[in-house]
Order: sequence, then structure tokens, then C-alpha cells
Amino acid sequence: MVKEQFRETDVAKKISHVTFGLLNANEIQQLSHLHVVSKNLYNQDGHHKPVQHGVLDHRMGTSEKDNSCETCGKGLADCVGHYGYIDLELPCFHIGYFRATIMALQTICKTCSRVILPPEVKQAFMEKLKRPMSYLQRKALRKKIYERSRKVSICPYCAAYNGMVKKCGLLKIVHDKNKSKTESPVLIEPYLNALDHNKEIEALIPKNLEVLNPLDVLQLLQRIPDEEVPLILMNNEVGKPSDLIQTRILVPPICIRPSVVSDLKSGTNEDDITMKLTEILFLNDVIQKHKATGAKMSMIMEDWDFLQLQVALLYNSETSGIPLHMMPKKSTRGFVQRLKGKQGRFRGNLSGKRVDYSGRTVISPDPNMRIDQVAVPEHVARILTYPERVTKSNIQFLRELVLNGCDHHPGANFVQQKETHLKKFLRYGNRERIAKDLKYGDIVERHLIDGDVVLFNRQPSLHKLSIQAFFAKVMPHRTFRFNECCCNPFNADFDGDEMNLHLPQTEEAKAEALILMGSKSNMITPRNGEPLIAAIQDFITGAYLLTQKDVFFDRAKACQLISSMLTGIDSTVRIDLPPPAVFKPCKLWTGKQVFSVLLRPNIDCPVRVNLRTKGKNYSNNEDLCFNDSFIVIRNSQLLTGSMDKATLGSGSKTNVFYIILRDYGEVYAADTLSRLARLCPAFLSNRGFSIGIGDVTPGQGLINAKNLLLDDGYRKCDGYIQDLQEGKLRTQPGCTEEETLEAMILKELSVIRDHTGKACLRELDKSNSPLNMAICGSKGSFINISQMISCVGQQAISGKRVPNGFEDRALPHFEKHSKDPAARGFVENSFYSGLTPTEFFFHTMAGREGLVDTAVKTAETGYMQRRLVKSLEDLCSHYDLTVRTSTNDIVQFIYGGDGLDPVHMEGKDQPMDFRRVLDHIRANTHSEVQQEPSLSGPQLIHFVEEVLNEERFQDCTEDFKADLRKFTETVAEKITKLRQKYKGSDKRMKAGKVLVLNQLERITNSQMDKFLYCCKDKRMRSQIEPGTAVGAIAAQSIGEPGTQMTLKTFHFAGVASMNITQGVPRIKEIINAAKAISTPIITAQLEVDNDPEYGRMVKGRIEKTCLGEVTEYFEEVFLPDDCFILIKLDMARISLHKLEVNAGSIKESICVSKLKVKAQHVKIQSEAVITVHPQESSKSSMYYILQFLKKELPKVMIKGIPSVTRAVIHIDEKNEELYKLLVEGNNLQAVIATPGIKGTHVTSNNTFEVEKCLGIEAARSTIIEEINYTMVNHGMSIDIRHVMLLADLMTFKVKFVI
Amino acid sequence: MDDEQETYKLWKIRKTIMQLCHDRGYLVTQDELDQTLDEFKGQFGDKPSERKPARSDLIVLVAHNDDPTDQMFVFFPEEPKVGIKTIKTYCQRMQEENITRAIIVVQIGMTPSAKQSLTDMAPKYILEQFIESELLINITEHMLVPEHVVLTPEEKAELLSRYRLKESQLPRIQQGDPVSRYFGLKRGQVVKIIRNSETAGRYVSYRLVV
Repeated sequence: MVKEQFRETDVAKKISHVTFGLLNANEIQQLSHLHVVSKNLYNQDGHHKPVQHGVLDHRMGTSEKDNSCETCGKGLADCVGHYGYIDLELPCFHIGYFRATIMALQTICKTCSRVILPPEVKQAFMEKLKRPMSYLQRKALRKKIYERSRKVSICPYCAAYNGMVKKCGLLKIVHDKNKSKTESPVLIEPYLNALDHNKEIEALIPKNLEVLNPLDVLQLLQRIPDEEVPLILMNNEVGKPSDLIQTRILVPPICIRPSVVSDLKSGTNEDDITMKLTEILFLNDVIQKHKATGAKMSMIMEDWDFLQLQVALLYNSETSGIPLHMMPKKSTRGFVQRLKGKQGRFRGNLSGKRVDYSGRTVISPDPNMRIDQVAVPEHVARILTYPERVTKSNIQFLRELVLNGCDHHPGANFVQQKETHLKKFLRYGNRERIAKDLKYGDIVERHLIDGDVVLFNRQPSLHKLSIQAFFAKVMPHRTFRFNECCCNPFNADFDGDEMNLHLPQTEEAKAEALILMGSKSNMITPRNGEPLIAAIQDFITGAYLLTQKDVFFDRAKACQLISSMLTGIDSTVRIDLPPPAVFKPCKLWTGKQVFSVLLRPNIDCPVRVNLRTKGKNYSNNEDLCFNDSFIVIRNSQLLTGSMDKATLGSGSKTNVFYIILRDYGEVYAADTLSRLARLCPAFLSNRGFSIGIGDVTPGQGLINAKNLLLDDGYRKCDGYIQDLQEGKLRTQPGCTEEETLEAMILKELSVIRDHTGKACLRELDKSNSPLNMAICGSKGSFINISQMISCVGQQAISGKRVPNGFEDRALPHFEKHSKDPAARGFVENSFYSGLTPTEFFFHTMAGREGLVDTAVKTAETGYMQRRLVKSLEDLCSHYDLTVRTSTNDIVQFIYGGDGLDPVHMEGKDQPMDFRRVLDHIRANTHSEVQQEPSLSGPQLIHFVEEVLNEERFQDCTEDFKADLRKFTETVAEKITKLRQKYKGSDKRMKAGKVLVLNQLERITNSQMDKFLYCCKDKRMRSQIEPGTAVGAIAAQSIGEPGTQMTLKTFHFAGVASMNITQGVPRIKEIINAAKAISTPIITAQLEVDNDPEYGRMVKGRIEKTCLGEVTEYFEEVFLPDDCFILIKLDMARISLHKLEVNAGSIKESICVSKLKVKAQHVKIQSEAVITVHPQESSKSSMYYILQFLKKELPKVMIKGIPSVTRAVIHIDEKNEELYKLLVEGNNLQAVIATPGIKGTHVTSNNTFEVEKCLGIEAARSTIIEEINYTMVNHGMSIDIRHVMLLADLMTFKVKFVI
Repeated sequence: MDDEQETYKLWKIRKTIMQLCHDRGYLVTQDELDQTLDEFKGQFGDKPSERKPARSDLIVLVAHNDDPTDQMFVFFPEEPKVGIKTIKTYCQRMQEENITRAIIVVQIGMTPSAKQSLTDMAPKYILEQFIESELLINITEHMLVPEHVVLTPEEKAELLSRYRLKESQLPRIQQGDPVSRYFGLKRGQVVKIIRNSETAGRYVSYRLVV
């Protein structure tokens, strides 16, 4: 069944548009093959045959194997089904068109059926309608016409009164003829007679509601003049307004509602839709009977209601508002439910379906697998097949497979002959014969064998690396096995995870999968260009221990170790053993040498890596680093430094494998990584690496250190508590005393844990396994160690200390109002020493919070990811470098501003690190250029200039050339400086011999030429490929790290309790473009930014200040002839806060406030005393007004911006001298306009405000800035291009979307 | 509010207005653009509370660089909330002097009917309104706002042909966007936006006014 290659047809046809319309009764009849009338399903004669003209009539298709369709004569598999129809006795509203019906009714006159708009308005709308419009525009226009016609109450054509048309209960429409307030005599007229007899109805007359039943509505809609139909945005050709009402319904074919023959009881189980249809038929019969016998009107009405409900439920069974007595007993599945949602037809069956040629089982690790291999169990391999065409070259092989049959592994399941297309199952039948008869062109469905390309996938598939192509390796046992290094992209571990495997079925699919999805080709994540497939856990530990300074091997050991990496395809690789590092007393090789062999096994291997970087524990002095953590690799020789997470692990661009990948390609990188994966476990299992109780037992020194730290911390905390009680605690800006105390104690206690962590590092033995793992970064952190050994530390619940669960205390074991560390969740024991019951409880509380967090966040981020992908999925880069949507709208003119692919970024957001490239080339070509002269600074610049003007650099951008020139200048400057510095010291200078001086920073022409060429090559390579789905990649790159974020809020550095929302909620806020964000903060720079006094003054102008905050007291004063409120201002406080208020301005504020006090009633008695004189009014007495004023006066705002709750003067983290203002609240406009603020340097984190105040472009940069800030805060790095694309998408159509 | 601050505010506003006129291509002298607070006080006085300057003193009339007959008024109404009456008087004045464009700088806001009257006159007389607080700084100088340049119709045509675009396929900017209000953009015009980009240094984009 080899797929024919896809060829485009000669005639390219493009669908210009699709129109949706309404089916009318006539069309329904034309579509149908029979009129369904019988409410019975089967004949009662024992044969169990469907009733003729019943819902299950076989003329509508069949649902059983042994019956064929009576219309087309085909069987179950081939008959597509045929429709029937039911005539409703009375018309019904269509539940899906119900709102449209109401809107149409509102637009027309309920008497004369014409559109109710005045002629000139009508004309204007008709003009507008003639223009071609997009869907959204039409929708807006429809709403406009609707809104306009709501305002017309007297029909301009028949002068009838028209009111609101409303929905009233389920499937009922009422026309509210009630004229507001003034009841017209016209309205009362019809009831005059009735009024005479019954006075009681007088009150009811104004509630003149007319129920419009479907019959009325049908007539109204039918009478709409044809020329006015466009005004209700309908089109007579595809659907008349009257078609909104159903008089006939379509009966779907039987194949979509099959009967299921039940095994347990006799008879069949019928589909919900079949049942609903019989109910409708039953009600139809009842109504017909009632009509014929002339039953009571109310009975017919009741049945009609019920009929309407049943018809509605047929379409949408989740209709809400069903009256209790009509409620169906069991819920059913209507058509809407069949289509909607994740399990619905679209998402469940059309966009995603279950597939053949796939398998699923538990995964387990196997370091002996190469990076691009997966071990497939033989069971699976025997079931998954690949259709291979028989050719001259493989006929012998395939014959053997056919002979082996289904049950022996390298076998085959089916053979399909070329001529007959007959598939033969190889389990039965004569396999020898079939094998002999195999001809060229036959297709053998052979088992999966070694080397087949398979797709390997783990859910949730959050990014494109969640499915990758591997080479299969058939192995015994029952799990899929792969190299642990490949865990990261799948986010897999081996605690019972299962993964899926798919076998591509054509050669094209295989090739494509290998190139685009191959795990070797996807070692780098497009999120930020960092390697994702890299050494993990034991591999890092092993490499770290191997490359320690004190590791030596004799010849036997070294050779054994080196040969451990030679298995599988590598087993024949030649090894060049380097000369030993120590010759006497015996030949010894260092671990670093073994590692170098791993990088470059023999001299034919072209890999000559150069790396010079700081490791994880770098202290100082470069290669003389005390911790041996400055790594120098020169021409693939590890000269100094021990390998650790930074040089082997994922997420770092100083990774050795990353550098091999970049400089020598993926094959070498994968091979090297595979060698490491075999070498390290071999070394580690020989050496031994385990953990025991001794590793977590603290020594006396550690215990003492811990006690010291604890005592110190406790003392400080007690001091703070004491201060608070005595009222001496200095509050932090914008905090109450309690908040300050909490912040300070929390800080103190968290410091304890960090310090004990450091103490562990100091006190523990070098051989301590957990410590070694923490140091090299393979697993665990110092905090984990310190929790095990010395102190678990403060337990935090939503960022605070444990809250009060009982009356004023966290647990009943403590005293009320206790603020002690222990009473609020500080755990001073370690896991080794054991937790006390209360500590244990606190620890559980924090643990539970973590669990809840993960559970909540998976659902939340999943939805966020889906929305991101849905909104960005159609963006892709084009040949003119633009990024466009599927409708060719431009989102970006050049992708990311420079058209570069994030995958290829070697530097931070840059395609290469010039320094590293130059060093690499210099090291590689060192021996080749001995004869060439060394360039001086100016010579170098001149040479580069020359080369850059050559033909081959013509196609480089000027930006790039400028970057190159700039870099050359720095190199040239360094050379010149060096030569200046040592000029005199070289005695042979004048002798004209080989100058030692010239060997410093030596660069020659050919080296520079190579460098420039290499840079150009890298630059060209990193150009984004036209057709890349940049949108989908951006969405995944932003969504995927979201799943790893915790929902916690973080503190603002330096300022306590200035919390800003972080993590997933914040990202959600940004991409929702929420108008009111939870923590709006405006950051403002000051005109004078080094003076806190000035800052305080500006703060006073911005922060909302009420009268009550600056008064000493309010006093009611009663004099014999007068009474008033006396306000005594607190002048000291006013001047302390630098508030620019005085009695005069306060008087003004009081007058303009909502207290309704007139200017003449507020008197300024002195600088600090104001009196307010209440005036008696008709509504209230003097006393109450006085009391009211006394209550309200303190709340009068006298200064600041009303929406600003708080402003804090913030000291810059880097420069202690610099002050800026953080304003909590909205109204960016007002803050910018405040004097003393540097208006051009005010930013807000509220994108919506920024858009309003500074425009769409400013909003765009705010979005980028905010997403970036949030991500960086959580330690996620994302290439700026992805964020830019998202921001551009959100702003390119003006309105924020998503 | 005390005089000091009020004068400062008026000076700032007038300065922004001058820059605005300049950026729109009206003829403004360098002196007027660089006017310091003291010069402002010298010219208009420093007692706004005693109507020195009165807002009506600040009225500006500028002519376009290319076409001196194309002139624009900038009005400063006295009352905080501008009603339809004031608008009428301004209109009269514009009719008399045969000027079709004007900017009204209001202190707090406009009555709805006055706003309506502005749009009613729209095709013939173009009146734009700004609130004082919007003009206290020049938003185009704000660090978040990149440089906007208005394209000529020819440049626009060239842009559309270069990328083979329909007008509607360009990214958009609203007419009511603060920056497009600053430049007084009309529907259908295209602005070139020169951003400082982290990746490329300088990145040019375009937006269509809708």
C-alpha cells in the first residue's frame, strides 16, 4: 500500500467563498427520500422489521451488516445514508436561530411587517449594505441597524405602536406593547368593555404583553417585503427570514444514529436522536388528534410547547431554562453536543483521530542506546509493519521475511500482489509458496526492523520537540528504551511514564521525518537556541568526578575505561591513546586525558573543539581557579577545569556538545554525547557512587555552626518583636508595622537556611555524595542538602509565614498572638534529626500547597497554551522576509527585526560570538600559519576593510559589516596596547629576528580571512527559512515554559509588600490584554533623581491624601449662636511629608468635594484651623448634617491622584544614589503630567493604559518588556523574537486580540 | 493652584503645541520651539490668576511650510468645560479668516454636544481637541514611543507595490491613537515607524491609519 506521490492536478481551483444558508421546507423535501410519519420503530409481528415510514425505515440507510439500504441497495459500509423528513403539525422556533428570530422581529413592524426604520435612514443603510464587507463588518452593521430600530416606536408606514421584543421564558417571544408611563387611550380602548365588568384588571392593562407564537412570527416574517430583507442582513437566495421558523424537520440517515442490537436483553438500543424523533412524531400525532377532535385550546397549546421543546432538544440538548415539569428525565446528546468540545466531531474525530501503525508502552532508560535510537520491544515490532515494495535488491531479504511469517521477529504479516491487489495474511497459508511467488512490485508488509525510522512522542505535546524521529532497535522485553539524554525535550522520567511510537509508512515520510524531526536535528530548542539534548544526572556526576585533578589511571585501567565507550556502531573506531601525563614511577593517564579521548578519539577525527569558559563554581584567577572550575579546552584537549553542568548540561551555550554541534555538525555532537553516555556510567560504577546515612549525618562543627546561626536569627527576630511591642519598629515605606515585622522576620529566617546551606558546603567532606552532586549541578541544591542535614527552614504558604488557623494562632500548641519563629512555621530540625509534630504539620501544609499548585496550574497553562497556539498558528515567514497571516496580512515586515532564526543564535540574541569564533580559528590554524607575519593593530583593521569590500561579502547587510568592524577594532586595540606595554622589554626587537612580542595575540592574514568567512557563513546560515511556521514556534516557546512556572507572586526587590503578580496569572493578564490588571504599577523617574527629599515632595503630589491623614483632630463645637466643626491641621505632619497643601487649598478641596459645602461656609481661622459651618436644609436637621460632616470630612481628598493608592520611593538596586518613584494604581496620564516627574521616562505595567496614553507602539514595547520581565523573574530565557512576534500580533490589528 | 505652577503648565503646553505644529509641517521659528520658562514669562506675564496671561493670549496661528495659505489655529478656551457656544465663536473666526484647521486645547473636557459639533463640521472644518494634561509632555519624546514619520501618497504607493499589498493588509493604527492625534492623521495615511530594536538596532515598520 505504498502511497503514490502527491501530484498537483492540472487545473488549480480556488474556492472563492462559502455561503451558509437556511434550509426551507421545500429543499428539505427535495433532499429527502421519504416522509416519516409513524411513531413506531418496529412492527409488532415478531420479525422485528422496521415500520414503513417510521424513523428506522431502511430507505434511509442501514445500521446492520445483514441488511442493505433499500434506496441504493448498498451495504452498511458503502451506503452513505439518505434523509427523511417530518412535517410538524404546528411550526416551531429553531433553537439555534432563536436570537436571530428575535432580532429580525425587533427590526420589523409587528403590524405591517415592514422594516421599522424611517425611509431616509433605510436608504442610508441600504447604501452601506451594497458595499462589500467582511464578516465582522456585517455583524457590526447588523447590530447598528438593530440598535437603531429599537429606538423607533411608531411605525412610519402604518403608524402602529411597536415596543420591545423580548425572550420570555424558554422559546417564547413577547412583544411589549406597553408604552412607558403615559398610557395611551388607544391601548386601553380594547379593554374598556372588560374594565366595566372587572375593575381589578385595571392595574394589569399597562402590562400589555403580546405573546408571539411561532405561527404569528411565521406570518410576520413571510410578509417582509423582499427588498427589505437585506436590512436584516439576510439574503433571500440562501435563506428567507421565514425559514427561521421550522415547519418541517430533516430526519438524518440511520448510519449516523445506528441501532445497537443488545446482547443482554432482546430488542435493540436506539440512539438518542432516534428516540427524540419518535417523541416528536408522537407529539405530532397528539396535536393532530386534538385538532381533529376540537380539543381545548389550552391542551393544544401545552402540546405545542412540548413539541417545541422536543424539537429544540433534538438540536441542542443542553438548552437551559426548561420548566421543571417538562424537564427530560435523562440527558441526551443533541446535534450540538455531537459537534462541540474536545470529544466532539471536530476536535475529537476530524482534527485528531486514533491511528494505526502506532504503539504505546512504559519507557525506561538505556545509556547504551545512541542519542538517535529507541529500543522497541519485539512484541511491538511484530505488530507494526512497513509496506516495502519488492525490488531486485531486496527480494532475497523479503523472501526470508515472508518465510518467517507473523510470529518470528524479522518477519512479515501480509503480502499484496501487484496485479491482483489481493492481500494475503501470512499466518495461514503456504508461506513457502508465497515467498517463491514474490515478484518485483509486490508489497510486503514486513515487521519493524532495526534502522526503521519511528516517531516517538510523549504527551503533553507542548512544543515541537515533544515528537521526534528515532531509529528503531528491536530488543527483547517490554519497554521502550532510549538514552536518558533525550529525556529533556519530552520532559520524561521513568517513574512509569508511557510514550507513543508511530511508524511512518512511506519512504517520503521517512526521509522527511528524519530531516525535520530527527532527534539529532533537534538537539537545540527554538525557544532560545540552547541545547536541550545534553548530558544529565549521572553523566554529569561521572564526568565531574572523572575530570577531577586527582584522578589517575594506569595503562590497563585507562584502556579499559576508554574501550567502554566503544560499542555498537562505534566498536571499530580506532583510538589514539595520548602520551601518559606521568611517566615515572609508572605511566599514568589523568581523567582529563580520558575525557579528551572522548572528544577526539583519533587524529583522523576532525573535531577540534575550543572552549574557554567559567564553570559552575568559578571563583577567580581564570585557569588558576581554586575550585578548578575554569574550563579550557584547546583543540579537543581538556587542559584545565572539571566538567560540570555548565559545560555538559542542557540550557547552556557553553556546553561542549553544543560547540561541537555548531562547529562540526550534529553527527559528531551526537556521537560524542553517546560516547559520554557509555563512558560515565562505566567509570562511575567502577568507582562507586552511592548515598548512605553517613552522608546526611552532621558533624559537630556543622551542629555548632547551625546553632550559632539559629541563636543569632532567633535573637534578631525577638528583637524585632520587642521593637514592635514598644512601638520602636521603623516601618518600611508603604507598610504597616505588622507588615514590616513580617517582612523582616521572613527575611531573617530565610537567610538562616541559606547560611546553613553554605555551612554544609564548608563543613562537609569532599567525598560526600549529595554534596558532589550539588557542586557539579547534576541533581539537588545546597538547600536540599541543608534540609537533609541541618535545618529544614521556614515553611511558607502563599509567600507568607503560616497563617492563623485557630484563634489568633497557627496551631493550638502555641500561645495566642505569638510571633515566634517556631509558632509560625519555622522548622529548625533537619530531616535527619526528625521533625517535631508541629513542625511536621507545618511542613505538610507547605507540601500540600505545592500539590494544589501543580494540579491547578496544569489545567490553566494547558488552556493558555491552546489559546496562544490558536492565535499564532497561521503566521509564517515568507520569501520577502515578512511574517504574514493566512490572509496575507502583514504582522512583521522582517521577522524579529533582523530575519534571523532563534535556533541559530550562538550568542545572546546574536547569531555568533565573534570572540569565540576567532579564538577557535586561531587555535585550529595555529600550526599552519607559522610562516606568516603577525598583523599589527592598524594592519588588521586595514586588512578587514579590504576583505569586507570584496565581491563575496557583497550580499552581507551593512549592520553585519558594522558589527564585524566594531569587533575588529577591539581586537586591534588589544594588540596595539599589548605591543605598547611590552615594547621596551623585548631586547631582540631591533635585531629583526622572530619577535616574541609578535607572538602575543598573534593573528595573521589567512586566519583573519578564515574568521571573516566563517562569520559570514554563520550569519547566512542563521537566516530564517521562508515558510517556517514562526507563529507556532513562538506560541510553543512562550507556552511551554509557562507549564514550569509556579503560581507564586514575588516581592519587589528592596520594597516590602509591593507585590506584583507574577507567573502564569501575569502572563495570562498580558495576553488577555486585561483592562484592569491586578497589580498596576507605574514606574516614574524624577527630574532630580538623587535627592530623597525631592522624591518625597513629588510623592506627595501623586499619592492620594485625605484630610483625615493630616489633621490632629476634628471637633464639634456648639456655641449658643452657632455650631460648626473645627479642623485642626497637623502642620508638622504636612511639612514632614512635604505635602503642598495649606488651609486655602484644603478649603477649596472641601468645597469641590461631594459634601455640598459652599465656600462661604468654610472659614479659615488661622494657618492650622479651619471651621466648617453646616447649613440646615429642608431635608435634614442641623445636627445630622454636623454628624454627617464629621464622618465624611476625614475622607475628603486634598491632594494627589484619586486612583493612586500608594506611592513608594524606590532606591535603585545598582546605584544607591538614584531614587525613583513606584506608583501603585492607574492613571498614567496624570502621573506623566505631574510636575517633578520626568514625563518622558514614565512607564506602566498596564498595557491597556499605555495604549490609551502613549499609543499602540508604546503598548507593543510594554507587552514585550512585561513578558520578558516575568519570564526572566522565573529564570526562563526566551528569545526576544518570539515575544516580539506575540506583541506584534496583539497590536497589528489595533485591538488586542487572542 | 498657585501661579508658579500654572505658568509652568501653560509654558509646557505651549511648547508642546509648538513642537506639534512643527512636526506637522507648519512653520514655527526656532525661538518659539526653544522658548524657556523665563522668556515665556517675559512674553506673556506670570500671573495666570490675574489673566496675565489669559488663555486667550496664547492663541497660535501657524502657516504650513509648503503652502502658506494652509493655516492652522490653536485655541485656548478660558472655561474649564467647553460648550458649544465657544466652538461657535471659534468657527466664526475661522470662517472670517478662511482657515479650515484648528486645535482646541481644553482644560478639563468638552460637553457632549460640543464634541458632536466638531464631528459635524468635520469634512469642511477640521477641529481637533486636546486636553491640557495630554500636552504637558510631548508624547513623541517618550522613551516608549518610537519615531513616527508620515508617508506621502507616493511613498505609500511604493510601499504597497514593494510588498504586493492591499491597503487593508498593512498593520494598523487607530485615528484616535495618541500619536496619530498628535500628527493629525487622516484615515488612509500610512506612518513609518522606526523602532530601536534589541536584535537589529533599527527596525522599520509601517502602520495604516484607520
